[in-house]
Amino acid sequence: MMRRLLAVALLAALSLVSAHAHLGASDPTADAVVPAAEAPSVITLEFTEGVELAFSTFRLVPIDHELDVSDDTFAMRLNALAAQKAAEVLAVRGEVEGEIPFELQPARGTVEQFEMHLAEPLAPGSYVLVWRLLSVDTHVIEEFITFTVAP
Amino acid sequence: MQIRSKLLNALLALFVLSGFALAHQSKEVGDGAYRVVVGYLVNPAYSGQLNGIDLAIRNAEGEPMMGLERSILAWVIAPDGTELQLTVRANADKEGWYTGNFIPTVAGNYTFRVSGFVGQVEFEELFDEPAHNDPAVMDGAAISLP
Repeated sequence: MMRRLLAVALLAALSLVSAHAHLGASDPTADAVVPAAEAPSVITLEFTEGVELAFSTFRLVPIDHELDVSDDTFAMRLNALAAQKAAEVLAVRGEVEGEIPFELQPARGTVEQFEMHLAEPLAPGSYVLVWRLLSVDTHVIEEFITFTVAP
Repeated sequence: MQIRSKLLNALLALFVLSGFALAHQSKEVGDGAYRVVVGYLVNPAYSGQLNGIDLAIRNAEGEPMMGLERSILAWVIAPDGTELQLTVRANADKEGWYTGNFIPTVAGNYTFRVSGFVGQVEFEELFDEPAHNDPAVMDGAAISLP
């Protein structure tokens, strides 16, 4: 009985984790280090629930840093810097310095998967892709991922 | 009447704040640039019950530091010394708080270890008094039936 109760509690906790529109997959993946020759000009995002694109904001911004990409803690250090950058970017409505424009495809609708089309492949450097989205279940979610284009 | 209402509100705030202080342990990192706060997610904690770390990071102004779930690592250390790394995630119910679930299987005092990065600051801290009752995790048999 005790084990059954524990299993129910654990399942309830896990269902809380999976609720709302969180990132399920992306290309580039979170924390990826991509060779310059494979620098993306299209970014694909797939969420765990539908996203109301008309009421959601996505911003792509470079992160200035002097971190060593080969360091084991590079991703953690970069994400710590990105957390600050993401908060700054979401706090302003206008374009921030270095912000990279893109087109969403599709541009509207309630979708789980969509693409961000850039004008040209990303230059070497690290980037934070941050969003404040409206999930189809009406929850507002703020998250970000980072990735790096190797020099 | 208004004065009584304000007094009641003040007492309520004091009660809430003292409860917060009793149930968590906090440490300054980065020469005071940030404060790391750790406690149990479920209080009081009982063995055999789903629990977790209740973790917050605030800056010197007391503002919550968000988006750090991929910048921080957390472990829980059992009374016998065994360690379990927790999967840290943002707590969807409490803005600026993070958690990672575990089930303490025996009563006793558990320790949390938290390390990682916030801004440019690297830190690693042990939290050996995340709850102020002794033992921090009580025997679940005491509240179990049949």
